[in-house]
Amino acid sequence: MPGWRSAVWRWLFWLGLGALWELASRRGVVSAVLLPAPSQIVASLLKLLALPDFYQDLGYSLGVFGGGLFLATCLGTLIGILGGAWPTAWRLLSPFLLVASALPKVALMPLFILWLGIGPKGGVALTALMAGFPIILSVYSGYQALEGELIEMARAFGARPPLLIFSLVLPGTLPYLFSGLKVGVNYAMVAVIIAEFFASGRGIGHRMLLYMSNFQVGQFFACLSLIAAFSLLCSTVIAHIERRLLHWRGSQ
Amino acid sequence: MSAPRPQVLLKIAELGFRYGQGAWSMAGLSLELRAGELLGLIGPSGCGKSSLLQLILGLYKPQSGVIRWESGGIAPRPGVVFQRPRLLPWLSAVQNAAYGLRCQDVARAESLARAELLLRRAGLGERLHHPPARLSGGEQQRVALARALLINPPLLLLDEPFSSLDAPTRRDLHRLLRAELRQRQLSCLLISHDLEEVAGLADRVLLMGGQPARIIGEQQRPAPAPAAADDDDKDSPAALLRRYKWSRTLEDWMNSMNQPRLFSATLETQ
Repeated sequence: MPGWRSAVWRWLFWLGLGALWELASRRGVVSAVLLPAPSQIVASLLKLLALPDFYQDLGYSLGVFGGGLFLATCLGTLIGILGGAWPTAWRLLSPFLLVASALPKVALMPLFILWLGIGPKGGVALTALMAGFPIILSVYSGYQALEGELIEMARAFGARPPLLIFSLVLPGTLPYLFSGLKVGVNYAMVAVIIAEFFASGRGIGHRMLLYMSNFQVGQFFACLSLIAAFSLLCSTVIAHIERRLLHWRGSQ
Repeated sequence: MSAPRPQVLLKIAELGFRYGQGAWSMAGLSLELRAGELLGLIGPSGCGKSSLLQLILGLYKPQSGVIRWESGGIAPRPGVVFQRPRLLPWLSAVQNAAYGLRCQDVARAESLARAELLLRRAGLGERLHHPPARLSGGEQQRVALARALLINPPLLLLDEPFSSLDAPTRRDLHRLLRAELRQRQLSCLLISHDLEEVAGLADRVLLMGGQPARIIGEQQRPAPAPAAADDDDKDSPAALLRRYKWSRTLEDWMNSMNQPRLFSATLETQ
């Protein structure tokens, strides 16, 4: 099926589903309090976007998200590469990583509140932790893939560590970093909202909690649709950057 | 009056090596590599030829014995071409060729200029900015050879670099290699499974074997040596016959040493 025709069918499917939902809500088949109609969600969204303090919350959440993801990317890349370069260190670290990655990280949030207080720091820590694991494991796999041949070649030519890192290890592990990042972004999003549910007087998560406790389900859904749109935007931006930076893979 | 003894470039004496606590892969291995010669090293698969190359490159330390460069001072860095080209897929052909120079801290612009010059001479003028994925196997090995030659090594180490190439490409690369070796008066250690290849290129051949491995035999190329002398008339009947006889001699010698038969294409198929 040509690309445009498949896109038309996809849009028709979603529009049809939206129309059914709208109809069901208006006719009272489902309670508008529990599941507001799409038109009601759009109206709530427009109302939300007109509130000045909404943008403060949005900025706060984006700050926690960006800070956590930045930390996860830097630390995840560093730990993944160091683990690959020093197998003994990796062997020591891997039981901890195994346990920590299996642990529901949300359970650590009370600890973060205890250590870092109520505010953005705990959220950043949880976000970094949740997004960091897939990045560490991906980058480590990337280093393993380089280890056999390319690193030996560079060592045979006498490459010093800075050149080895910047000319070989970082570009070579970049495709793996992007794989980890794609998973990590979604975890980061979950972490930000959960952290704000737990302990924060600001942020989109905190706002969602307030809306739910006041039965403002339309506003709650509006926030949810914003999160979904942001998630989609992140995936698109990452895929675009990946294509730009890893153009050499296209010719392989 | 006897001919002057050729100058020794690299001397390996009583080398013993094993990976970790595994079985010894070589013990009591000794050889001399003379300046300006192309030394062929043959032996059955897994006998430790590539390990020897890694030891010469300094990637591993031998448990016993010495690897001594007779030039004195700091050990020079040999150039190496591996069985697979090992090019960095995110760099272009010219950047890959310049990579060895970059490892030697040569400035980026100078290393690229030198790499471009050599790649043009190697017939890759039209492919300078292509990534490795858009080069053929032979072109990739040319880039790898350029990368090794550009660092002006005293010794070129070749670890079966032509084994995966088709016969015409291999012949082209042999020609390029011989021309570069002759021009630079380089020494070369060629590891190969292919007796025809060794017969066509090497001035002297060492046979590696045993468990743990050591050098168990040596054959000098019959006159007129060196192999580079065949360059000008390499396709003449006389040159072909010389190489054929030399490869038969090597094969008979291998058989007399009770070594597993190595792969050997016949000259008639070339």
